[in-house]
Amino acid sequence: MHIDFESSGGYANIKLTYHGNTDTLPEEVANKLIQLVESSRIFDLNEKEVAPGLSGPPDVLHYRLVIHEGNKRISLSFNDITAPNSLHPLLTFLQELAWEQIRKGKSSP
Amino acid sequence: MNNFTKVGSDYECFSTFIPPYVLDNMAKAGIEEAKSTILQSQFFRETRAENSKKMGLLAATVPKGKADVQVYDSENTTVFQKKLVRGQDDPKTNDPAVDNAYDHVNDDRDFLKDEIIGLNSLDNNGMNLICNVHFGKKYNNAFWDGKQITLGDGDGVIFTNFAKSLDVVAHELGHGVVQFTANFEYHHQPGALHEHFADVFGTVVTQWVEKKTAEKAAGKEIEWLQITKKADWLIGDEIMGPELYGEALRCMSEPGAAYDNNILGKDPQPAHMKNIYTGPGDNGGVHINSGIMNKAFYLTAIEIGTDQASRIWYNALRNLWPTAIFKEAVGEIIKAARLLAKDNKVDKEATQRVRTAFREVGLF
Repeated sequence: MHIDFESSGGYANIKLTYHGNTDTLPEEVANKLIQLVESSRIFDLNEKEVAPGLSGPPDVLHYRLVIHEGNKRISLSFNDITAPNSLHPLLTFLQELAWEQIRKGKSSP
Repeated sequence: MNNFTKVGSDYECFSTFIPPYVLDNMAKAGIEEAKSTILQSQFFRETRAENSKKMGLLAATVPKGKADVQVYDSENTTVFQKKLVRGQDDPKTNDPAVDNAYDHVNDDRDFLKDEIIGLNSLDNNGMNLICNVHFGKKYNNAFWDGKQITLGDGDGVIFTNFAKSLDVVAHELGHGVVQFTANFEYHHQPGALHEHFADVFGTVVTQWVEKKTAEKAAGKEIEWLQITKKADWLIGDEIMGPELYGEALRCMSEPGAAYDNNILGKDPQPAHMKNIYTGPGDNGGVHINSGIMNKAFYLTAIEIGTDQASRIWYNALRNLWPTAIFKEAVGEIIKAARLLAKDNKVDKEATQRVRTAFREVGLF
């Protein structure tokens, strides 16, 4: 499974990115990602239903998430208001991974 | 359905001040604002309906509130208004996030009521001030969603708890005041004005509280200019975590100088129109280009005092509109300065100070 993640905006206006492939990630991280993707039921989500209609509201975080798994692919854009509750644990973990990369000097905002 | 009645879901909480049927009636009656409003998303349909331009209608449909402060605990979920943990005049809870948020929102409400601005809550109609704390898990953000503010705990490394900071809380509530006045669109220059005015509220409320505290300690009144000149003019410095100690997110006196490190990179705010950001990121630079206007506010405040600068800016805000750009805001701010000077509500030379400030940032 391949994941491309980006969060941007917010009060601090920080852009975070994370790209990962569960085939090459450490087993513990890969397993957690697979479990969070499954529990989020992301492939059942409708792109249009979660897409924000207009820019704003002020200071919410905006997210872009693309996941490829076998022949399945989903690409979503959403924000803190339009994100379904089921996605939040996955978002939290992806943000942690992105911050960890920055701290290790692998990427920058 | 009425305001703030639905709890327990991200989606359900966006109930409205003005019931949909009232909007429909407004549209049928030919009110253009309502016509465009009902074509927009559910969320913005509601927020635009609350625009102060329709205060007359609001007064007829929304009973005057008591401007009570209500702090809710999201209990580390993403549910808004999950559990009311401290209402107006309730005792301390011993949860620092709850008690800090409660104090900061109260300070903000008291500042708005003060003679500088003279507002009865964000909508000037006594709406309750709702704040959610402990939102999400390690959530590194705070936002205003059209009805309430929401504060994350931070991850404890990059950011600490957002409820700790008065300027964060006042900034987010400032977005509320903007919504009920100019209601700027949240992109490009109008969006940067949204952020600018929110930063102004953030710093002004902080200075107002500092003035009260200093006066209490000194046992006498202290001149505004003294407070203005002592202020740090930093936004977000109080929420920086251990790895970013000493940094801030924005610097109103020196945009571009708030941070420079391996984690956040370099503060991208310009201090002059010649360096205005024109890219697509950040909704067209709403948090970036606000630096230009922030600098002009700072330059004005250090000459005439933060109280007078705030009065001028707020009077201009009331006359601005959703698509306004910087030049138009400058025009309204100068006009407000002249009118207030004429009424002896600001110094006689305030207009010239404002012009000089805008000249320094390339806007006059």
